[in-house]
Amino acid sequence: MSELAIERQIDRSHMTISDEVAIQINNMNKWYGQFHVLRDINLTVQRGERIVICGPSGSGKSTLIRCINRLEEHQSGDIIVDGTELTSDLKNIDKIRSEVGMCFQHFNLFPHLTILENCTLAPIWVRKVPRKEAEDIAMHYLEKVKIPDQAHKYPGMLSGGQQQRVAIARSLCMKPRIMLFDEPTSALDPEMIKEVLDTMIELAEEGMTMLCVTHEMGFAQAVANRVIFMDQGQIIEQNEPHAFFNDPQSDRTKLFLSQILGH
Amino acid sequence: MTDNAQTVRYVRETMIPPSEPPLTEQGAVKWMRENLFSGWKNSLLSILSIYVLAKLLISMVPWFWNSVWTAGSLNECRETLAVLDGLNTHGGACFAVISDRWLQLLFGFYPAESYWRPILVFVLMFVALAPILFSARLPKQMLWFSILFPFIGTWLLWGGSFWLPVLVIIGFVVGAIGFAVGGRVAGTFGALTLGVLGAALWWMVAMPAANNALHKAVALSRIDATKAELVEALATNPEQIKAIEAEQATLQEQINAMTAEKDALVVEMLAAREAGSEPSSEQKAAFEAIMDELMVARRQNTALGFSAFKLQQQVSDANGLLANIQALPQWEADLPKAIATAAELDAALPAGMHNLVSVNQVPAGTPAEVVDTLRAYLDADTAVLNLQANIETAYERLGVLGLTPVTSRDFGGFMLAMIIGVAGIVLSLPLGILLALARQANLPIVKGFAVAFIEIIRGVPLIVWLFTASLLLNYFLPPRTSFDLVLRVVIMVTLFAAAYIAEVIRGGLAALPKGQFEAADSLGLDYWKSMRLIVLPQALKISIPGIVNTFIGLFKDTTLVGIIGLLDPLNLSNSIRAAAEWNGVYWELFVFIGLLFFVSCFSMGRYSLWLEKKLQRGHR
Repeated sequence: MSELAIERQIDRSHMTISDEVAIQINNMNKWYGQFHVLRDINLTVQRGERIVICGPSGSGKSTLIRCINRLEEHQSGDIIVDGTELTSDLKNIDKIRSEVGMCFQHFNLFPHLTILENCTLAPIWVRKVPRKEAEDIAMHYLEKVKIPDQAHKYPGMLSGGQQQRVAIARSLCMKPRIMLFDEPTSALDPEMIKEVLDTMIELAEEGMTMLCVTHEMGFAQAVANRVIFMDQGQIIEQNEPHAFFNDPQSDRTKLFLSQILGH
Repeated sequence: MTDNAQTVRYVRETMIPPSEPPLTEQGAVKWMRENLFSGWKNSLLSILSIYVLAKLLISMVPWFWNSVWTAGSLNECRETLAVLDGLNTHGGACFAVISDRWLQLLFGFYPAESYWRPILVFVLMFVALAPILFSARLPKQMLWFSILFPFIGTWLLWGGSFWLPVLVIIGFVVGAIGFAVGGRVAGTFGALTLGVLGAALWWMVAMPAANNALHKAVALSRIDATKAELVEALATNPEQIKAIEAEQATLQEQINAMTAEKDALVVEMLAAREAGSEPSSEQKAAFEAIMDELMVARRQNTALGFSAFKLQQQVSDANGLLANIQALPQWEADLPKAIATAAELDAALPAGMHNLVSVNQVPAGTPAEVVDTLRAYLDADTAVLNLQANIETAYERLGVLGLTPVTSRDFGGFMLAMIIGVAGIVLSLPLGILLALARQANLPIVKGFAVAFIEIIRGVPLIVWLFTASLLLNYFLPPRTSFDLVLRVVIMVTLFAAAYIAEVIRGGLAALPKGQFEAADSLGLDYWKSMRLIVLPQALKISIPGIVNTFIGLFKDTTLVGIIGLLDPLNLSNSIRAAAEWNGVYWELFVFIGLLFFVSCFSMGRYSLWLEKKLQRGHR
């Protein structure tokens, strides 16, 4: 629950939001057994949007973004990603997953493969890119996240921050159109959070469509164009960041913000 | 910061250099202090263990040290021990039984002139395994040989015509083509159906036909030459046998003379011992020399007996083959007639009776003449099948182009253990992986099948499965099909080990963090790719100790095949003991067999340790 002030200048020239719909969620519901995790979720994400989802633990925010690439199955309503509806059709699911990148709280790098192999695996086996080309792409993104010199090490030899940056590079190697972040900095030491946030800000500056579940309110203020607050499986409030933080409408949001911002 | 008078500003400017540890913290002294005598309890335990170890060695070492390697029987071993060292029977090992019978312990009753075949297979096995075991250090192209090795190895061991392995491989090619075509037409289901169906059709219909045709062609092309050869063997072999027998008689006389000489020497030396004096060194030297000579003469005698036996066998084979050649035209002329008769009788049967295989099956109240027709039809049918079998066998014997066939009954010894063990290991790993994945699958039928299979196979002792393989399987197979006993045992051992391996791998799969599956999914990898590239490499790495443990168990369990009559090393040791010369030899045989198994299992264990170390990837 740390709040790091973002001090750098942010280049907003490419942060444009187009009219094109990237993700459309209509009346989506999800249950774990008898437990109603997500209730009547309606959400439209425009291409180029940077959305931060926050809320207390157990509010269903992780489950929501995990539904978008069907790591979790929803039971009613529809989710349309990039014009393709998520059904149980495996072909559609694999297609959507290869277009939607995801970063996890615990990085989930493949420990038996080198950093470079982690990054080239999906392009080679899913996109059928030739190995040489895939390696060039991987090195390009590893340079972008500033760890090209670690390419031939194994994930276990890297620090947490470095691993999370590799995980971001691994997703980017698939050239995704949407990126999902599931609490990317929650498992990191404070000094490593900054390097991961920097990488995410750079990604935002390039105009990537992003959905981030995070408690980094500094990041939300600096980069997001919309902040969504969830509680008990429902979207309670959403607004642009300035208004969200300075003038929250619901009592639940006010309480949450007062706790997380530590006033 | 509190305002404390004790707090003085301090900054270190030079680092303290490292210094030597104290003497008691170095070298052997340190090691002994830490590991043997770190307290009075541990010191006591150390001394006690050293005492037990010394006791064991003192009683075991002389037994190995005084062992006798040159003797023709257990009695001679005892004589040698008594005469040379003045020891009783338990004073030294009689490893002469190993030097006499080691080939049998290794190869069973595999024909001696073909020993090169299993030896070659053994060497080739390492060539085939090397690129799999040491994949990083050897070129990938070597895997082609690994794929071909099972076919080459089987052919070398069992012999037969050289085209047999080729025909079997073609079956796999047909299956692969069927898989590809079926996949394009009807997805995974079509691929599997067409692949399996294509291969099965090839192996069960096309392959036997092609095999018979080839044998027939070869047999016919050289039938005159074969006949001449056989006639010549019949003419010359009896004379040769007589000559050998004469040679053997003279040799036997020499052996008898030498034995008498040796016996006299033994009496002399034992008398000296009775009198309390050590036999002279000349006597000892003379005894050793005569024993050596005796062994050489006996070996020569055995070799002569063996060649006489071979010649005799050739004679009886030649007689049989010549009879076959003579009968062949008659058989071939009779066959169409027999088929016609059977068809006629079949047509005469009333509807509903064509499928009966015995007159006992007729419904009550059937007229007697119909029963008679049925009986006649069944007899005619049997005659047709017998004629076909006769013709086939005759051509097969006459038309073998390749290696002399060896039947599974002659397989035995450590070779048999290796064949069953290696085949079981190689086949059970992929099957175990599939079972483990099936047990984890979301499809209830697949999962249920895997669970039932694993629990049933694991829940019943291996011996029961071996009996099933040797006896019961014939009841389940269609009549007149029978397949090789060794093959059946390999199948059972494979299924048995696969059930265990599946459980070991399931443990590995369960140990993987869920995040690995999710990360693979989130990158768009499909099920098989994420299993192959992400999940299995890690799960198998975790499971290495358990898998190798199962393999070692499987390899040692191959000795159980003795129970269903195959000649595993232990069973062979019984039959060696049944010979008059070696009656009463136990430990020496078991030590030798144990050593063979130990070396194999120990190397497997070492390999697994090496592999585990190699696959270590930093800290997690």
